[in-house]
Amino acid sequence: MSDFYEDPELERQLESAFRSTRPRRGFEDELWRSLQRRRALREKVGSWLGGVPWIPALATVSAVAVVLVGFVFFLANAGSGGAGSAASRSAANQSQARAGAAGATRTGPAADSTALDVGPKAFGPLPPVPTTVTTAYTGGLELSLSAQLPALPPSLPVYRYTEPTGGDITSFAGNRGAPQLAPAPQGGTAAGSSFAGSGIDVTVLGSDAKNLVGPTYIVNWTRASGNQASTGALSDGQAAQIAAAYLTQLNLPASENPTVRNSGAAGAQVLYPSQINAGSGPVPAVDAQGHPIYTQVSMRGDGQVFQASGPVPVLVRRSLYAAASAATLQQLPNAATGAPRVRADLTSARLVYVAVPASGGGYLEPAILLTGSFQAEGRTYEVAVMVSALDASASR
Amino acid sequence: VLGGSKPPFEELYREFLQRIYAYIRAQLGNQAEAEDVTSVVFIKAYEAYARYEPRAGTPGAWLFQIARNACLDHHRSTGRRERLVRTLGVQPEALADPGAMAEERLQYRELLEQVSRLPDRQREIIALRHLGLGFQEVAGVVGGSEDAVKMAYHRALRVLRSALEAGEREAPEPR
Repeated sequence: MSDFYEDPELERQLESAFRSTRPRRGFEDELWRSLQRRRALREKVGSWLGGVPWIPALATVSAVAVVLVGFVFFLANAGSGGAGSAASRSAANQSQARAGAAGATRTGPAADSTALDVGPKAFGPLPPVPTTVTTAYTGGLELSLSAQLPALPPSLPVYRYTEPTGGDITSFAGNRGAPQLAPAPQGGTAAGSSFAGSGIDVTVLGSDAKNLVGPTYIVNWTRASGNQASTGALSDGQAAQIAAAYLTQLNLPASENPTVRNSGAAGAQVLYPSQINAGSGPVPAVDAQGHPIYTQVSMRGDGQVFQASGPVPVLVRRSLYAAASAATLQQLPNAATGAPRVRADLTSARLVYVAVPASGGGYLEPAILLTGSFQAEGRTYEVAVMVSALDASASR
Repeated sequence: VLGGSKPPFEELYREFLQRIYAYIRAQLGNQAEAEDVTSVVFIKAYEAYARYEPRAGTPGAWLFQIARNACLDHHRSTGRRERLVRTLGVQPEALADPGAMAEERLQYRELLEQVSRLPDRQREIIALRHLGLGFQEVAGVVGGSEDAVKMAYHRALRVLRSALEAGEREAPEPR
């Protein structure tokens, strides 16, 4: 072809440009070490299992300093390094108005994840499930901020996680006594998979981008364990002990200082709040509506545990980003969406972490959760607004 | 190594990491995502290396094929991601990272920016060609005949040159 456009100078520049495009310093060795660890782990577990083909559980695609922790759980020892993140600069878009009485029951992430049949499999009468009726406020809303904003450090960590693969999930369920029931998705990310064992079901749900929740497990006990703790009213302490024993037995992480919702003879729920290490200490993990994320253990009044749910442990990488200034945060909330406008004052502000699912995984990102309430149409509504705690200079 | 024995995987890794990253970076335009996808590529390659047959093609073509598929997977899965970003804001890059800063200082930044604006196929061809693949290998990776790939390549060069000249015309006069 003689009509090809020739431009040797441009070609030379292209050659140099591509040659000089390099990953950040250290990436090459980090990834290589990660590959080596992956092989070592595979060989180790392969030998335990007598050569049974095995996919390493919960491996991350690239690790700077990788630790196995509970997802949306206290990330105690994650190392620093390489980066990438999706800022949850949500401001007005993330404003959530909910109706109902103050202190209304908030359901945890597992209870919200009902795409699969993950409800308790009864082995006897189950305690009544409290229901909360919520009404969304759809009118215009003008936000004001009177809350004292938390003092942020100069930088805040963002944690990147990899979505568990089908093999990871199979392994997770199998290690908890539920061998694979249905074929796991090959290679890719599983949106939801259920496994059954003797007296136990395990379901793993993938990250939920709508509700900003990471991978979640739900364990259902389908028959009584015979561990009846009490024939009388279950105390908070007894409930907490039973829950801790079940989680330990399943090798599932949980934070300290759980709270117990005790309905007495009707049963109890033990809630372990998920926390993220923000550098200076743990802060709560929340979902898109600002609801706390818990590892939750539910039991009947006789102490029989029938369900446990919580964040799936995943591997994470940690990167530091500049934190937003107080001046920036002050400007953000304004969710006027139409007439008639109702004024809502955001009276509380605190640092939280929220999962932002992305391709093949996601990010745990710091955000400021602003909450308040307002009156409209004779009702009291709660409003929650989340704004990124990262500075705009860290944004592309 | 075409037709010969396979080198240790580490050799391949050290030789191609930068080029695979540069290719992915040109396709995704974001450092953090490029690192993630590069990781995915080498994990897949590492696990598949035992099955890789040198007679089927050069290691470079094989790796770039894996990289291309990984980029396509990434693009397919980012519909949700983009919606999320639109809702929640923009994606931050890493804080002052020496490597990233060096990259930002590139004198070729504008050129790469113009490359990123090319249509997908032209962008892929330009990147693969300038990351060491011959036209035949590029055709093997992106599909199509060698002549068609050459045609697309030279068309992309012309587009790039025009864009760069237009950019120069629009640039303010130095005082």
